[in-house]
Amino acid sequence: MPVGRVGWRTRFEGTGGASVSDLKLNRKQLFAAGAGLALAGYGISGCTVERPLDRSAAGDIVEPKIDGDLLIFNWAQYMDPALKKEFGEKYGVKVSEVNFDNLEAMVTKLRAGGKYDLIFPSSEYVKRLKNEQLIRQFDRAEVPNAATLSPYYDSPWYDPNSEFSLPYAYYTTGIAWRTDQVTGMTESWNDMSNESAFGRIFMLDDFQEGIGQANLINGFYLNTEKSDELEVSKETLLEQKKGLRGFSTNTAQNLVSGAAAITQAWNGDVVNARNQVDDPSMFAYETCKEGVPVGTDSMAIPITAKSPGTALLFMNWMLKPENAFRNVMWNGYPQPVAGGREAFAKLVKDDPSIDVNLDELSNTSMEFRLENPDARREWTRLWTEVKA
Amino acid sequence: MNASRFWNWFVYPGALWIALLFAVPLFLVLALSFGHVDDLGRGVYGFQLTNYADVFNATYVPVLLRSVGYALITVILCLGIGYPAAYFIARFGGKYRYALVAALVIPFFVNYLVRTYAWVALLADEGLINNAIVDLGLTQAPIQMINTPFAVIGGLVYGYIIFMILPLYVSIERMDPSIVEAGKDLYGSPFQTFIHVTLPATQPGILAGSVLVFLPTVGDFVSAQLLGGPDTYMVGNLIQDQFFAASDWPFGSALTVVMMLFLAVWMVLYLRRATRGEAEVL
Amino acid sequence: MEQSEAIRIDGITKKFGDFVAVDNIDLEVSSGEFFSLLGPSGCGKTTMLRMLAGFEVPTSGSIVLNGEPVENVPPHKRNVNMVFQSYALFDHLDVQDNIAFGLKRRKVAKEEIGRRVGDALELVDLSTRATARPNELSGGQRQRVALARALVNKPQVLLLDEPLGALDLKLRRQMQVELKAIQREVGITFVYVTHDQEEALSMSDRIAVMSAGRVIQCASPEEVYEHPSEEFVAGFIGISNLLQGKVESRGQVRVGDVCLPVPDLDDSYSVGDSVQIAVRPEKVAVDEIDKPAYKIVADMFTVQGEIESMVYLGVGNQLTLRLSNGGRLVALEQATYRVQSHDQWKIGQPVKVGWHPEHCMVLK
Repeated sequence: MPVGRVGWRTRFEGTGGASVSDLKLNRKQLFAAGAGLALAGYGISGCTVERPLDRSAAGDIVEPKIDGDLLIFNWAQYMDPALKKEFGEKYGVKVSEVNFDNLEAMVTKLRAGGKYDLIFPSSEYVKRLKNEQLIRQFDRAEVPNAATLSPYYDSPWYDPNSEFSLPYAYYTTGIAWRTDQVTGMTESWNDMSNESAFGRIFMLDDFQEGIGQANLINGFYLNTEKSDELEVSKETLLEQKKGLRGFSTNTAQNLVSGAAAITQAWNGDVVNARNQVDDPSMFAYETCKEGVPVGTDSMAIPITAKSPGTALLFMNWMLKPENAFRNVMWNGYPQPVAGGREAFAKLVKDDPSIDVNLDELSNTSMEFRLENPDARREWTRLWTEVKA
Repeated sequence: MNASRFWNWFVYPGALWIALLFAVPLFLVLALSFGHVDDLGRGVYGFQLTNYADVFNATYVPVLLRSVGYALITVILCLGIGYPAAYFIARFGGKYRYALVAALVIPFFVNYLVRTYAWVALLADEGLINNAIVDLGLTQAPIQMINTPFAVIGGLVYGYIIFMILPLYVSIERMDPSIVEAGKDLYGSPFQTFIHVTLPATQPGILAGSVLVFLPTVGDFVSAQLLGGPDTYMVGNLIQDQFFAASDWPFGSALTVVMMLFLAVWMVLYLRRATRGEAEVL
Repeated sequence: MEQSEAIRIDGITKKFGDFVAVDNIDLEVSSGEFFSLLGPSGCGKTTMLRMLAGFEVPTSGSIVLNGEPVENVPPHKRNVNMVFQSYALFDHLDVQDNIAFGLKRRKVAKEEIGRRVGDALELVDLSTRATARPNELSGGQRQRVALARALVNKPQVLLLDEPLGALDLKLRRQMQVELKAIQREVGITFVYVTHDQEEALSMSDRIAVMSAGRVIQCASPEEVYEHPSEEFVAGFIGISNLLQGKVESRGQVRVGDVCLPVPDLDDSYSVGDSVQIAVRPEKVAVDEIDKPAYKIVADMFTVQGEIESMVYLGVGNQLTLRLSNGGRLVALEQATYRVQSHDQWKIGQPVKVGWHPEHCMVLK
């Protein structure tokens, strides 16, 4: 026995009976196997990756009543656990939470039939899920605490009449920087190539945020679908890339660890970063004059929910002013409801630029929306090419 | 039914398991790579080659070359670091051998992602290493270590070196120590003996370790994502982004298939080498 | 053949921690000699060999090879070569590359390597397997490759560490003859380590019998066999019958109530000394008690006894005899044309036992 030889082959040879060579396919069998594969391929051609879901509940309106325990499917670190606990105690149900780390993964699990009761999609995803009949309709009048929501959410573009979703948090995209290290900030997206921070700039690892700010620099519509404009923005991005240290959505960590001198940022992450250091004034945040992308994360009830009624009650619970106040103090993201607005204003009183001007919300051209699948594909390919 | 026929039945549960959990998903990936995305952003099976045409877009060539380059450098570093470690443990570990091997393996009980995050904390500008060298006065300002190709390769080496050390250890431990003495007895200096005797004798371990490190490294995305900069994008990141950011599963599948074919070539070369097991390295 | 000195070992001691593996050994080996280190496992013979090869550095003492002290010379700079017990062939090289290994390291010219490897292959009768891999060879062939790989370097001394230990008995016998023939042909000094006394006796010019790190006796095979210096040697080499006794006179030793005649003792013995008498089993003759003497001859010392047990060996019988004075002896009876088969003896049968007094070895 040669020393140290990987012995798998010898072992197989020793088994007797059906040896490896018996399993070898002859040409005819290979052909048959190939034909079988092709046939199977033809059989599933045109099918989507996921199996069809039972959508029979799609037409029904969700009633606000306790109909079981609650399973929440949310971003991590996005909800004050005390609020879940108190809800459970008040209504006598068990409240559990599982997390996703990107929306695409969340949708994939829903399509696969995951039985979650409450999800937190962005505006664009609310529209996609609605079109796909993956979320359930409810009567907004049955959610009394929704009355104090900002008027914009009475009938947002992604959910006319607000029948499928209620806002959970909203945010702006701007630029955060280290006040002790960076000079010459101009409240412009051109600050993404500020020379004093060259090599220490981060861009959000999000194709819409990345391409969007380039569009704004070039004076294009945030969600432009014009190929020639996108081509120009791609050049802008490649130019910006030279000064980048990376693409990342770990904004708070990049700021706190000192890796980032400048970073494209969601305002809530800046609040988080400021909470983690002794001197919050070392991080500043600006929104840019070319345009401020805004976004909303909403609450919605999947078609597969086992306790849709409990979920609706929980939505109302989260919009209750004192609960909204506590939740905002906990996660750092503003909530467009009574209590939530005040809490956020208190959080950012040292740096009002972090706050969201509600007028910005009504400018629907400043929300990311790519409803044309071909445009979406063009954007994602462009982004991949920039990162490659 | 004779005894060996009876025992042959035991192959079926395992074969079924592999078929269900490996072959079927693989087939679905293959099928989806010929598909497209529908208006709702869902992957749909079909028969079109556009995804493959896109894979061979010149933009992605640097990504592939970079991945292979990082993987090769990682293999070389793992070999350079792992061989002395494995050699020391196997030859001089004595009764502590198993304890030493366990000590090497235990860190790998921790999830790769978590370990990579630990590296972030270590290498950051205001991380442990930079704080130490600044405090010691070695440099004025912190040195940028994270978000560089070095950090990515360092993360890969750290992440996969155990797959190099274990086969090397087995190979060295199985080696008859008297052949090293024979090499010296036959006028080989310690260095010559290492080159002409020890290295060839442990070649199966070197090959196995190199393949075991190369294959996962070339497709890795965690290290580049957490430790990399703007120019460390690897094939693994490219594929991962298609599934989780771009929601273009068919394109991601096509990339996966091409990647697997590429790796399969290496694997076949290795298996042929390992089964022949004869050719001299040097 | 010139009888110069190939190896001189002076006061060599090797300790591993507290354990003394080799204890103050002095030895000289002549050039061209077939010299064996014989002893049970753990006696230090392999350690001694490894010190000669350079794999172990002596704790104290000196080793001189062909006039040069080498205790601190690393193995690759010593002009000795070793045949390992496991052969230690390089599996990644074919037979001829294995044999050429040492020559290549010494940067011998290519044509010369080819020629010498060819000669070595011929010497060990493996010319047809030059391109085979070691794992394609039989045990005996591997052994011969190991031998050729060492001999091709024309070392001053060839060290062999139980080289036949892994072979089956028949092949061993054959290889013993071949090895001896090769040694005569090449004329190189062989230092041969073995625990097999038959092997040592049949091949060696001289044997050093070792025990517990020391050389007990160093002499020719005949001397070691016929005149062992100590009980250990007598017992280790061949089976010996040992009888406890006291010196009665210059030519007699009393064992129990019987006085045995022995060869004349020298002045180192005095009356009353405790000694042992050893008689080789093959020197003991046994006859049926009530029949005329058949194997016992006139000048033998005889004593009565009975057959206690019997083992059939094919070439003869091994008889265990209980003597009338209570002692016990083993006798080895060759099956010759005169002694027919084993069934002539019965357990408990009374017999006459005899041996020549000069075959008694007196040991202190």
